[in-house]
Amino acid sequence: MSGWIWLAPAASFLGAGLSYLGAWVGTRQREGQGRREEWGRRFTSALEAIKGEDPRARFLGRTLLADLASSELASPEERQLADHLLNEEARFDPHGSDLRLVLPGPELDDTDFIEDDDDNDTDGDSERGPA
Amino acid sequence: MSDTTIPKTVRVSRDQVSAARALIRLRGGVDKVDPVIAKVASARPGKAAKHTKAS
Repeated sequence: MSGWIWLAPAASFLGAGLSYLGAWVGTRQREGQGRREEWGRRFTSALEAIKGEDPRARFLGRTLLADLASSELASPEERQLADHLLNEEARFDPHGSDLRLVLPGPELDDTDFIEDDDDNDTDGDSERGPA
Repeated sequence: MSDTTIPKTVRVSRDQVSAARALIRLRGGVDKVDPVIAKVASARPGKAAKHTKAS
């Protein structure tokens, strides 16, 4: 008989615990969603910066893109997208060389890679890699 | 004749170097990228290189 005395307080305690757990899970979900939305905004900003005219902004955009894609918030598809974009950009630039057909090998080891310091090189002595 | 013959000296743009470095950063190391990307990322600055350009 005396065991029934504890039933109401125990049920109340259990209900309060479940309410707290539900609120905690909801808060965590909202926080996760907020972080993910902020991540998405930054990812979009990074992509926009890469397309821009300012070389400094493009550099920062790529750095930001690499960091965001390394984040735990990035999905495998988004990580793959960033990887593919950076890979293509490194291999081909209308103002640089087209390295998409270059394969690793002894010939590559003997090749000297030089960073162009002038996007508007007009002296005509640049070698732009294989066509 | 191959279309992919690589000149002794290849000029790459700053954007290409920057993208190669970002890719290495993303993948977590230079050993995780293609050797071509590694070479692009370690390209020497142009001004210093112009005087030593291979013929």
